[in-house]
Amino acid sequence: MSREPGAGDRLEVGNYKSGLERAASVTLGLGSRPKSPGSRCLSSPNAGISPSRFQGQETWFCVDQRGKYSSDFLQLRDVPVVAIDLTGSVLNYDGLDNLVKLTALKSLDLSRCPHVDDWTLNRLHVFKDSLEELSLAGCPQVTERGLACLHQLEHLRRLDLSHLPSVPTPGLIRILVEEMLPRCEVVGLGPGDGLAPVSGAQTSRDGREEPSVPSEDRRAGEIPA
Amino acid sequence: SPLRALEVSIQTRLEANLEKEVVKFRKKLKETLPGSDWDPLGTTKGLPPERADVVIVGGGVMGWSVAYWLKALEPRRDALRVVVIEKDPTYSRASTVLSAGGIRQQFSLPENIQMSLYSAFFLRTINEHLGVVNEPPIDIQFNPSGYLFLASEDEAAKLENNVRIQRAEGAEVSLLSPAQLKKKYPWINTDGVAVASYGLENEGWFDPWSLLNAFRRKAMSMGVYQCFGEVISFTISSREIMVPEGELTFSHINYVRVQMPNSLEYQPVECSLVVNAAGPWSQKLAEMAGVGIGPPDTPEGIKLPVEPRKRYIFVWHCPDGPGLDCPMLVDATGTYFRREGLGGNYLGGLSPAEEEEPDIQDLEVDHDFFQEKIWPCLAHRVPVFESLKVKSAWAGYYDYNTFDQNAVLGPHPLVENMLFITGFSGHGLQQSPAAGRAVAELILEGKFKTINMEKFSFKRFISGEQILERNVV
Repeated sequence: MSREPGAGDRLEVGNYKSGLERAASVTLGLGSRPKSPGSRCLSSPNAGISPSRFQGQETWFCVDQRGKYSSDFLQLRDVPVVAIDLTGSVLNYDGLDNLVKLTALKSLDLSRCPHVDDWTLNRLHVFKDSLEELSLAGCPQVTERGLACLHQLEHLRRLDLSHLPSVPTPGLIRILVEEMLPRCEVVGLGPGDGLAPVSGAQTSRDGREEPSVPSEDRRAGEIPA
Repeated sequence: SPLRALEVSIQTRLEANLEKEVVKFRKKLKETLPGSDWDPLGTTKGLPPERADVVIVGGGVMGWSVAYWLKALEPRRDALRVVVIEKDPTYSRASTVLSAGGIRQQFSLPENIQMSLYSAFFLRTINEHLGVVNEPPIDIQFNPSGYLFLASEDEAAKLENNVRIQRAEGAEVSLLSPAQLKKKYPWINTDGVAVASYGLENEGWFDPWSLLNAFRRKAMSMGVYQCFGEVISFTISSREIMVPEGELTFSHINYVRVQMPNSLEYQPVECSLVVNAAGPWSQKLAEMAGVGIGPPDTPEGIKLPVEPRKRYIFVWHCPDGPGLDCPMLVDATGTYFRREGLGGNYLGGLSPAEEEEPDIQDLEVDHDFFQEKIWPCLAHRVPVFESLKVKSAWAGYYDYNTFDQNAVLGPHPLVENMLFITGFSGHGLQQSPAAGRAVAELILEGKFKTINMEKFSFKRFISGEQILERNVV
C-alpha cells in the first residue's frame, strides 16, 4: 500500500485503488447523510461521513450498520483519497471548503445533491489536475451555464449529466459539452433524458439511452486547433 | 322655496371659492395632523411624499441598491422614509439595463477587488438577501465563465503585478503563458500575447435587469417609495464660514423639487439627505446643488468630474466560433467579447480612444466603428471571426469619471447633505451591492464598516490626488 500521496504511476483508469488523506476532517464538515444505494453501506444520523475510496483498496470506507466507521482508515492516514461518493448529500458552495484539499481526487459523485448549483461547479477547478470522473446526475440547480466551467477539468474522462431538469435543450448542450471536452465521455443529455429522475435504485449508468457515437466520428466535430 | 334658495346660494359660493376653500382645508389638516400623509381630497397620482428622510435621485442599480441597504440595515422597521426618484419609467437610456453585465475581480485597486468580491458573494446568496415571500426565486442567469485578459509584451509586467495584487486580496486568478493559452483555447491566435490572466472563480456575466428588478422589488416590499419624475432644482440654505485659507460656503439642501413626467406640476420634497445616484447625469444634478458653481480655483468651483460617455455593444453571429468554454475575453487592444446564449452569437465592443469619443447627444450606433476598429482586432485574435455577421447593436452611457476612472462615493465637503454614488466608469453594475451597502452604512452609522471606501471621496478632486484604476475595459 502506497504511502505517498498521489502516486499516479500505480493507478490505472477504471481500477481505482483507494487512499485516505485526513478523511475525517474532510468528510465530517460536510454535514451530509449519505443515502447512496451504490455504496453498500448504511448511514446513521450521527455519521456525517461520506463514503470514500482510498488509494490501494477496492472497498469503500463508510459507516457500517452499527453507525461505526472502521478504524482501519487510521492506518491510511497519509494515503490520498481517490474517490468520494456524495450522492444525495447536502453539500453546497461552502461545504466544498472541506474537499478542496483533496489534491489527488479522481472520482467525484455529486448526483442528486439539491444545493449544488452553478456557483458550486465554479469551484471544481481545484481538481483540474486529477479529476477523471464526475457525476452531476439529477442535480436540480445545475444549468448549462455552470457546465461551461467544467472546461477547466482537463483530465475529465467521464461526465454524467443525466436528469438535469434545469438544463433546457439537452441535445444541444450535449454537443457543446462534447466539443468543449473532446477527450471526455458524456453520459446522459440524450433525447429521453428529460424525464423526471426515478428515486432510489437507478444509478447513473442507466442514463445512456442510445448507443453513443464512436469516438473517432465525434472528433470530426472538434474545432481545429 | 327658501330651502332651495339657500342650497343655490351655498352652491354658488362654494364654486366661487372652491379652490380657496380646498387650500384652507389642506392647511388646517397639516396643522392638526403634522407629518401625516392623509389626504382625503386626493392628489395627482405619482407625486412623491411631501417629506422624506433620504431622497435618492436615480433609479438605476446604484440607487436601488442604496435604497435596499438602507432598509436592510436600518435599526428599526420604518426608521427611515426613503424615496427613489427616476426620471425615465421605461429605462430606455439607463446605463444599468444597457450594460454587458460582466463581473470581474481583475482590477488594480484593492478596494475595487474587495467590492467585486463582496458583490459576487451577494449575487451568489441573492435569494437570501432579496427574496420576497410568495414571489418566485430570483435567477440572475450568472455565467461563471471568467474574464480572460491578454497582455502584450509592454503590458505584461503590469498584468502580472495586477494579478499579484488580486491574489493578495483573495481573488482566484491564474496566469497563463501563450502555450497554455493555446492549449486551453485552441481558437485563440496567440500572436503578440505575452501573458494572459484568467479569473477562475466569481467572474463572468449575468443579467443586469434581473438584479435591478430584484433590488427594486425587495426595497419596495420593505417600504421604499418609488417616484417617477425629474429633479428640477433644490432649495438650498447656505452660510459662509471663515477658515484659515479664506471663506467657504457651506450649503444644505432643504427641499428637492420633483417635476412629474409630461407635466408642469412639481412637488417639493422636504428631506434630510440627498443621494446622487444619477449616473451619467450626476454632474448636472450636482450643479443644481451648487457643486462646481463658483470661481474655478476655489473648492466651490470644483465640478463633479463625471461625464456621460457613449459606448457601443455589437452582437454578431459566427457559426464556428468559440463554444461553451468562451470566457469574456479582453484583448490587449481593449477589444472585448463574450458568448451570448447557445446559438453561436457573441457580443462585444471597445472603448474608443480619448480623441475619438462619440457624441453623447443620442444613443445612435455608429456601425463604421465596428467595421474599422473592432472587427480587425477580433479577426486577428480569433481567426474564425474573419467571417461573422453583425446581428444588432445598441449604445449606452458610462458614468465616466474623467479624473481617475474610479467611483465617487461619500459626501461632498461643502454641500453637507449630498452623498455621491457615481462615476464608476463602466464597472458600476458589478460593484453595486458593495457600493450601495457602503453608502447605507455611511448614512446609518456615519462610517464604512464592511469595506473602507475613504479613498473614493470627493475630497481627492480638491486635493488633486488621483486614485487610478489601470484595468478599465
